Parts: sequence; structure tokens; C-alpha cells
Amino acid sequence: MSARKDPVAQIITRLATVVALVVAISLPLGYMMVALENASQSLEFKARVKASALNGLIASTPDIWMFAENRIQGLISREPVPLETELVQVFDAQGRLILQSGKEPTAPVLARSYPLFDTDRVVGRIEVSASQLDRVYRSLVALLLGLLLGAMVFLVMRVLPLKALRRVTDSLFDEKERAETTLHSISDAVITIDAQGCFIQVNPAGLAMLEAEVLEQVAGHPVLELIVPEYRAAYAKLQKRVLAGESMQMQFELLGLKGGHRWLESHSVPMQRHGETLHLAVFRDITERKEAEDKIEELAFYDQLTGLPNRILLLDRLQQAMTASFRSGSYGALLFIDLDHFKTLNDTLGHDMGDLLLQQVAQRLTTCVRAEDTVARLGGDEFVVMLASLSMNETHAANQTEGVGEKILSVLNQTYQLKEVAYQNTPSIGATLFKGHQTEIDDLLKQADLAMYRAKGAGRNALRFFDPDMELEVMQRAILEKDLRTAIQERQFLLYYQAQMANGKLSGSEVLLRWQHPQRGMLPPSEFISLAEETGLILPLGHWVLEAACIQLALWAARPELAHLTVAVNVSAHQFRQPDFVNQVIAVLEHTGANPRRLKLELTESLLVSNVEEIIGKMFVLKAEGVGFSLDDFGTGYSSLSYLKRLPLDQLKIDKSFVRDVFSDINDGAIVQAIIALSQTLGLSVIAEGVETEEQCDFLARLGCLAYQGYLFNRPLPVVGFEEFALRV
Amino acid sequence: MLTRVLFLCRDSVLLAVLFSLLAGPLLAEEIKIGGTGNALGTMRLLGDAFSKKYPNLRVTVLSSIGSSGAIKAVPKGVIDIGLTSRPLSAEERAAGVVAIEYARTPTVLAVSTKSKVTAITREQIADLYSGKLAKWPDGIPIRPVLRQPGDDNTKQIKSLSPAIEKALIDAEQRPGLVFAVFDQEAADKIESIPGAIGVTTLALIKAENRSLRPLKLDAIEPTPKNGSSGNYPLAKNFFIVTQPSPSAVVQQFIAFVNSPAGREILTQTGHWIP
Repeated sequence: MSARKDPVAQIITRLATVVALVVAISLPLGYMMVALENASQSLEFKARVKASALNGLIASTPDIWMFAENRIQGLISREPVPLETELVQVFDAQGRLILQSGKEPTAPVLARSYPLFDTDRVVGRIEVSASQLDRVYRSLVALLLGLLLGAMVFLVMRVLPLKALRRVTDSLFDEKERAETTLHSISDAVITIDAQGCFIQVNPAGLAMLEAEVLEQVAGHPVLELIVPEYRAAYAKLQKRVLAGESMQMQFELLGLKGGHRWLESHSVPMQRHGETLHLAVFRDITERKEAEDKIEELAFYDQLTGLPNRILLLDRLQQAMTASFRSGSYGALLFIDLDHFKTLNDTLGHDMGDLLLQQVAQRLTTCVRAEDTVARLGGDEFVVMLASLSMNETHAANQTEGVGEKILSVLNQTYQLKEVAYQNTPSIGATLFKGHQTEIDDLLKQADLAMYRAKGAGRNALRFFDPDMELEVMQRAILEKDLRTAIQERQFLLYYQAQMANGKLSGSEVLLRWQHPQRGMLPPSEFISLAEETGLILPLGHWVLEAACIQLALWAARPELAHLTVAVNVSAHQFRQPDFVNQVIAVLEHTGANPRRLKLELTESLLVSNVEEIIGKMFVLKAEGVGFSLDDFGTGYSSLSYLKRLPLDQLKIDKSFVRDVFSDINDGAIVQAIIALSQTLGLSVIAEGVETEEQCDFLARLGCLAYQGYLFNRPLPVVGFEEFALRV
Repeated sequence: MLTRVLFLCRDSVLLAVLFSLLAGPLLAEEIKIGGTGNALGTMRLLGDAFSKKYPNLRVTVLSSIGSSGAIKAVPKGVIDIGLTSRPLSAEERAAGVVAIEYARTPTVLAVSTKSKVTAITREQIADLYSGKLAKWPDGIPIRPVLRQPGDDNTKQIKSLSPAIEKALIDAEQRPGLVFAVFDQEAADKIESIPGAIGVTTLALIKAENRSLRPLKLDAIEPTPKNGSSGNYPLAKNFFIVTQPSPSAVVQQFIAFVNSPAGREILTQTGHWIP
């Protein structure tokens, strides 16, 4: 920093020069002026005084005083004080020198004069002059002193401030150097961000983090651009708060200019510069740390070999599932899976193969469960499957669990390819249900474990429930399902007919399904219909019923006394919802040759829960064919009356529960009345189910319901029995 | 030369005008006299006596302008008669003035009549001027009244002894010494200042009736007789200075001065006629 080039130094030098010159000149100048003034005043005074001294002489001898030279001499040289170094000259009125006293002063000379008065008249002039040489010398001395002083002032003014300036700038320079070196060498990014959220300055470490070669690539660009979208809102908020004066921290993901992802931890503080508030941020790359953290988590919670959650994570999830189950009311299940004869495999084929098997088992297990379920490895050859959010019904939940268990058994039974060895393995599975925190976790685990041991005891490759009753139920259901499938294939079913009376005559019948179970005998629908619905077997079953009913219609059509009889077939909502249901019905009608007008389809109110438009559409199509519709169990379901008027129904069936209590419960009576009135208003026929007494019949008749079905008239009968009845009536 | 002619013309015209315009003794003709202070007092007396004798002639004695002043003034015609206490120099004579000695008087050291001192010695004179002698016997401080160094009075005192000469030079350096330029002024100061002593003339003392006592010098009394005989060493010689051809009136006056009446006055006022 040369002083000569530095503009501040130049200004200081100029200023110092000016001040020094002023000081140098003003001292002698001031002295001279003062001295001159002094001399002038002194001489003037002396002239005045000496003039006054001559006054007496002039006044007393006004015409001849100018001749009294000696006297004048005496007066001016002595009065009032003796002359020192002055020269006194007396001039007459014409300006001629009369006399003078004293030595001629050496140049430079200063003279002052005063007029000589004779009262008011000026009669001459007295002039006192003195040499100013002394003063000139003294002025020169003053000038020298002034120059000296000026030089000193110059020195002080120039040197001291410059020294101070130099000191300050040097220290600032050092500070700057240190700061810059620090900024350059540290591994954290130090970034200055402006009030608009754009980069101003970035240190080398920062540029590396942002994957920029030079500052220009990022300067002026918003920081938010490089932050991964899901953290942008949070970072924008952070920026606002920093500019408002807060120190903030945050972790977020950064997307570098070249596409690299980094996890960053940022510390931000507000910074003042030129009265503006800026945002100073330090970014630390924590990608590795995060990865390490993830790894630790993995190690802590996951089984290294299979990648499945370990015991710790499982217990945590189980706890959460129990809490969720408590809130939702739905059941969950635990399945303990133990690989049979695993130890033997390890001993014979070695641990490597054992590990391979475990990995494959783990992989297969995950395919058996949903996303919300958990497959975990407890250690050794023990696996656990946790099923969450099962049914709120215990039996159902058990059935669901059994289903998964069977699937696991089936999947794990398949051959494994362990390198070049084909290996067969079976599991033993123990299952237990849970709901909320009814059972302690430890007990749950014990239950599942015990069940698993029972499975082993039962011969391995099996699933056992902890609760024996539940197990029984589950097993029975499994058996029943199997039987049902067989029954459908082997057509183990029969149709029974229950008479429907109208106006005192037999109008037709409702078809009821009976199952001729090889072992259990005749099973009513209550035993198997719900299972059929659950398993979807209701479709083939329902189809068979429809077909059988139509065949019968076709047969009766050939017999005049029976040709008028209608047949009502129950159609489940599941059946009706099938896309090809309408086609199915039409196909059946066609190939059986049954008269569609004799066919009535009984729908339940549960059908009308959703997609009513579709239902209406299908009904209209079938209606066009001639098929009739009745709404079964009316009054017990959800039907909206606005839908009711749109459905192409023919008949409402009053549910038996109303009929049963028509006398004992006033409400039921009123409901029955209402239903009858409604049907009349809507132009529908009405039939009462479950009529068992004459009184009920009379009551209904009085209200206007003239069609009945129930034990009063007939139990459901096989076709032969029904035909007899029909011919009798 | 021309100046002289002019002045003569002027005088004549003046006289003519005066005579023609002013008849009778209503307006008197004036004679202006000026010069050394020591002579003025006597001259006034002489003037008064002259005017008594010649009523239409008035004599005006102007205040002191000194001998040299008088010599300068006379040719200019501003004064008719100049009084000096020294003879003319060659140059002055060449300038066209004439001087006639008319009387002498002793130069004296005087004190106030209040003082008890009557005599003084040369030695004492030297001492009191130098300051060595500071008090009179009665304890009053001695206050010398100085004259100009070039003044005739001072010159005369200096001539008394080398010691006195030196003492007078020293006195110039003494601060606060009283100084007098004019003879009358000196006399005033000697009279009024307590303990004062100074140089003056017997003529002045007598003519102006001053309360001054002339001192015996080395036991010699300053009388005209002693002066005339030379016993008393110091004397002032008075001259009347006029233009070469003074007017009739002037001549008349001069004649009067030299007349017995005039001389009588002179003698009365401490003069002797040389």
C-alpha cells in the first residue's frame, strides 16, 4: 500500500501541507501585522505627544515659533520623554522642513505625523519616524519559527494519521487474510445469501457441495432451487425467520448442479452488512453420517442375513399394532414359524446352505403377506408373521389367519434350490389372535410359541391355533368349505318349496336350498350360505339353484294344474352384482325353456346399499323379459323410499319378524300396516312371511294383505311333497 | 537681496498706510522684539519705559524663541529686534543681520528663596548633577532642573570644571530629572519645585522679580560688580540683532536702550554695561 498511490494518504498529505503552510505563514505574518500596528500606534502617539509639547511655543509665539530652532529641538528631543531611536521632523505649514532631531533611521522606515495646531489652525506638521529593521529581522525569525512549526505540524498531521491508518489497514488486512484462509480451507460450506434468498458468496467447500465449478454458476440464483422439493417450504420459512433476526438450524437434502444428492445440516444466522440484513449459512455434509445412522438403524433393527426386521423391531411393531387394534377394534394375529429339521440341514450341508435356505424362506414369506403385515426373523430358524387389521369379528379374523397360514404352508412346501442342491422343507406354524392390549406381549409370544410346538407335536408341516376352540372352529370351517366345493361339484343339493298363498289359493312357492351332506345329513342354508358368500361359492351355487328352479318351472308348465305356479328364487347381492348376471338368467331361461313370467327373483334390501342405478338397469332388462322381482325381508334393511319407487318391483315381502310380533308389539303392527299401505300406494303386491296363526292371517287380511307364506299353510317341502299339496289345494 | 528690498518696501508701505490711515496717537506703531528668554524681562521694562516716553510707539516683547530663533526671525521681518545671548556666526552675519552688544549679566545657579542654601561649590555642583549629592542639608532631595545639552546655559556650567562637564553628561541619563527648554520655564520650575536648583541669570531674576536666590559660587557672589571685574566667572552677553538698516523706530528704541534712562533700567536689573 504505497502512501503516494493511496488516495486517503494523498488527501491527508494535501491537508497537512495546507495546514502547515498556513501555520508557517501566519506566524510571521501575524507578528508583522501586530508589530506594525504597534509601531504605528507608538509613532503616532509620539508624534501627537511631541506636537502637544510644541503647542505652548506655537501658541505664545504664533508668527515666529518656526524660527526658534533650538527651543523646538529642546522640546521635541526631551518632551515629554527623551528621544530614543526616532527621528523627529518638524515641518511648517507649507511642508518645508524646519528642523529635525535624532538619527536618520535605516530602512525600512515607518513614519507617522501629527498636525501642529495653533488652536484650530494647522500651522505645520510633526513627523516621527523609526526604523523597522529590527522588526523585519524579528519577522524573519518569526518566519523561520513559523516554517519550523509548519514543518512540525505537517509531520504530525501527515505522519501520525497515516501511521494510525497504516496500523488499522494492516490489522484489517491481516484479519481479512485470516478469514479468507479459513473460508478457503474449512470443509464446511460458508454461504452468504441475500434478502431475496439468492446466493451472494460461496466458499470453495460450498461450491464443491453445490457441484459448481465457479461462483458465477450459482451467484444470484435462489438457494431454494437446489433444495429437494419436499424441504423447500420449510427452508423458505427458515429464511424468513433468519432475516427477522433468529438463528436457525435445519437438515435437508440438496440436489447439486450435477445431480448429486447430499444430506446437509445447516446453521443459519443473520448478518449485517452496510445496514442490510443478510443470511449467513454454514452447511455441513452429513450424507455419510446419515448413511451411517441408517446403517446403525439397520443393524439395530434388521436381521443382517435376510434383511427382515429383527426381534426388536418386531416387538416395536407388535406394540404399535396392538395399540392400533385397540383403537380400531379389529383383530391382529401372530404366526410363529419354525423350520422343521433345520439343524439337520446345517449339520449335513453346512451353514452356508442353511443361510441360503433362510434367505429363501424369508423371501417366500414376504410374498404371503400384505404391505401392512410384518415378516420378521427372530433368530436361528424362527420366523414370525404379524398380521394387522384383520376382521373385527373374531371368527372371521381366525379364518383370515388360517388362510394366510395355509398359504404359508403351501408356499414353503415347494422345493428350494440351494445352489446345486434341490431341497425340500416344511414349517411348523403356531398362531394366536390379539385385540388391543387384552393380552400382554410376552404372553402373546408365549401363546404363539406354544401353538407352534403343538404344531410340531402334531407331526410338523402344520398350523395350530393357540385357542383350541378357535382352532376347532377354524378347522371345521375349512372342512366345510372343502365339502361345499365338493358338494357343488357333485350336486349334493336339493330344492325345497314353500307354498305362497294369494287370495286363498296357491300362487306359487319360494325355493329354499337344502344340502344333502354325505356325513352330516340335510343341512339348512344357515349352515353354509354365509360360508358360500364368503368364499364366493355362492355364485355357482346360486346358478345351480336358478337352473334347477327353471327346470322345475319348465316341467310344471307341461302340467296344466301346475302351470300357473310361480317360483321365487333368492338371489344374493353378490350374485346380482356379477356383471354377467342378467345374461346368465336369460341363458338359463332359454335353455331350460322356463316361462320368465313364472320366475320371481327375490332380492334383499342389502343389495340397494350402493350402485342402485346399475341395479335398476339390470332389473329393467330382466323385467322386459317378463321376470318378476320382490323385495325380501322388507323393513329390515336399508332401502331408501326414493329408490323404492324407481325399482321395477312387483312385490314387497313383509319380514317374518314383524308378522311374528304383530300382536305383542304395537310398533310391529303399525309397521306392518304401513308396509301394506305403502305397497298399495306404490302399486306393488304384498306378501307376509312367517304367517303361523289364523289370527295373524285375519289381521293381515283386514289390513289388506291377502298373500301369505308360512307354516300355517305349509313347511318347505321337497318337490314331490309340494306337488301333492299343490294338487290338493 | 531681493528679500531685503521686499521687506523694506513692505515696511515702508506699512508705515505709510499706518500714518495715512491712522492719524494721531489713536493707533500706536509697534516694535516687535523677540529672542532669548533671559533678556526678555528686562526688555519688557525697557519697552514699557520707551512707550511711556513715546506713547504712539508700542513695544511688544514676544515670548522666548531663543537666540538662534531671533537671528532667523529678524531677516524675515517677523520681528524688528532680536535679542541674543551670543555673538553672530559668520554665516549669520552673511545672512544680513547685525548685532550690537548692549549689556551683560552673571549666569547663576539659583534656588528658591524658600531654600536656606546660599552658596555652592564647584564640587557640589558636580555631585548634585551626577547624583552623588542627593539631599540638601535639611533633608529635602536635590532636584536639578536640566537645560538642553547644547544650550548656552549648560555650556557655561560645563565650563566650570571637567567634573561638572562629566556630571552634566551623566545627568542626562538620570531618569526623572526635570527639564526646561525655556529660560522662563526654568525659572518657574526652580521656583516651584521643592529642592530645585537650576541655571538662570541675575537679569531674569531681577527683571521678573522671581523668588529665586542666586548662589555664591565658590564663595563669590554673583553681582554685576563681580561679574564686571571677572571675579565671578560666568556671564551672559546680550546683543540686539537687527536688519542692517533698521527702521527709524527701531533705531529710536535702540537709542533709548543705550540712553542713560535705559542703562539705568539695565543696571537695576542686574546688568552691567560693558
